[in-house]
Amino acid sequence: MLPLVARRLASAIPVLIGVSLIVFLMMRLLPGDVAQLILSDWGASRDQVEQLREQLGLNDPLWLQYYNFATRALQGDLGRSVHTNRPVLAEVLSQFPSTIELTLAAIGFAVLLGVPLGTIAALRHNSALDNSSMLISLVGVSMPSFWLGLLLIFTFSLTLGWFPATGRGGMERLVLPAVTLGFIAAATIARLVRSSMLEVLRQEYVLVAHAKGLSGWAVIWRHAMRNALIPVITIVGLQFGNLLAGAVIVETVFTRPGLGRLTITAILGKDFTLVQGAILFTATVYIVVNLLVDLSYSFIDPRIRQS
Amino acid sequence: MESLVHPAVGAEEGKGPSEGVLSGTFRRLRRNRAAMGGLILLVLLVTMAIAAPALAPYDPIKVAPSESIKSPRAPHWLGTDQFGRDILSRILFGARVSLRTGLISVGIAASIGVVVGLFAGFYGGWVDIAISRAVDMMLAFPGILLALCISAALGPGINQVMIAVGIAGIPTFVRMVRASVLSARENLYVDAARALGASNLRIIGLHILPNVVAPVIVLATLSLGWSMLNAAALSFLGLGAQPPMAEWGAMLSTGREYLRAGWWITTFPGIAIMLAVCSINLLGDGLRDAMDPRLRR
Repeated sequence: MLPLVARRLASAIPVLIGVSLIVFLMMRLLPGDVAQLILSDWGASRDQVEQLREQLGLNDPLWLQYYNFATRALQGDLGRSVHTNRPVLAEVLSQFPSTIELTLAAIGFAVLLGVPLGTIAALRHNSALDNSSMLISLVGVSMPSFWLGLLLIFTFSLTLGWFPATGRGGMERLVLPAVTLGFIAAATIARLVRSSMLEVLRQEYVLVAHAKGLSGWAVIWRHAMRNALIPVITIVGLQFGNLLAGAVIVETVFTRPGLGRLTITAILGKDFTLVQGAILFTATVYIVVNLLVDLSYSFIDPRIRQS
Repeated sequence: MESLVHPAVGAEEGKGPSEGVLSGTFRRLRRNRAAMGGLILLVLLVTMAIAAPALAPYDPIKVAPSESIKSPRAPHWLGTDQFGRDILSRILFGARVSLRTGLISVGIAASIGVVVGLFAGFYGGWVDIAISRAVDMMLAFPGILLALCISAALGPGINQVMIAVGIAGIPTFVRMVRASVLSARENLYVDAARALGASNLRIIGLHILPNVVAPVIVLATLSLGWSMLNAAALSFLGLGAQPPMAEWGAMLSTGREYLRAGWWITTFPGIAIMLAVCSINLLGDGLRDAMDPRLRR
């Protein structure tokens, strides 16, 4: 197990370096002068622009800029926000718990809806139930999350008054954002569970279990489900990353504090150090989660452990 | 025994190299009712977009304060927004923007992705390693984040969104094409072509590329829906289409503040996005099933 962990860790490091390089280069590929863009709304003089360029290290060669950026990032220093002058890492960490809370709630909802929906669709293959489940799933993956969020706000908040539409705090403010974010993931999970379950139900060991006289539910729970859920666990882990990115939109719709809303505000406010830090942080969390999913997959599926 | 005959060669005599596979694909696609439904809906959408100047009853960007936030009824069948602009007209013109954005984004992703994937898969070695590592790094950005990052660098605007979503789509095409090429280059007909003195470019163009066309078409179709959704999302966030342009995502964004007073301002553009992406997904799923080599035999 340890060599496997070491190998996965070793393969994640170059990806992390590459991601930091991409984020760094993106912000340097901006058309026009970065310092001038930041100060464009303030009517700054040429001296002030030059001062900001020096402050941000923009006069150094590109390789030196990246070296300084990377070494500081490894020490937890992602620079300072251009507008608030607060450390970027502090800004990001202050918003992170809200995003994690939303993402975890969304995953919970996605699994609670997606797994039963996909299982029922597989067990009632080619029936009206199967077709309806897959139609819901198709609508789910085709629907823009921001539109779903607005529909839920209109129905459950403005019309019925069951849940608040905005902000953070308490379970009631988490329901609508989590359902919005999780619904699309539920649709993807349902499709995957259905195809995985159909594949497993065709296997000979399932036939043998039936032949042995086991009840339908016993066959499903003890034999089919466990094997059908192996690829689903991978997808749930990968969906975590998509949900983390999708939180950008949902936090904006529900005016909810979080990493996503911080990123958008930073982009629109041309706070490039904050944009750089927020995107790098989000991508790093995604890579770490993928690594953990990869390792857990090896743990759950003994065939991978033995290989 | 490995075949020396190009797999795209049809079984019937007198037919071109790809006609056998293509006619079989269209036959299987025609039998898939869901895919045909998606195709019909997509054709309707494209027709609406092309004919928008003729179909739209009003100018999509002309402001009419006296008609502000009118509910759906004659003469504004889908209502008006906060500036008195006809929602139906804006949806029709928005179809042009959304479809164009999706097509150009996919065009960027596919054209660059196919070329890079072809080279990575065919030449192998350090070229393949360098390209594969670059793709891994781009795919390390989840969902919309890469498009968001590029959008942040380029600034707001619909053209910038096309480029951002297009670049974000490149890694998927590279990976898929590379995998197809790795499989195709092992075929005997490739060795035979090389033995006959064909150059690498000729081999790639005449023998490798036909094997890649089918999966690229499927991926391009499915990517169109993804691109349209992401472009609409970036416009919703204020990074894409700028006012007063009629674009579905931007319409949802501006309509947000009027949800209680004018639910139609956000509902109908959302339905338009959903129907467009749904039709594309149905068609893409159908194409994928129709081109499945296991069903061809």
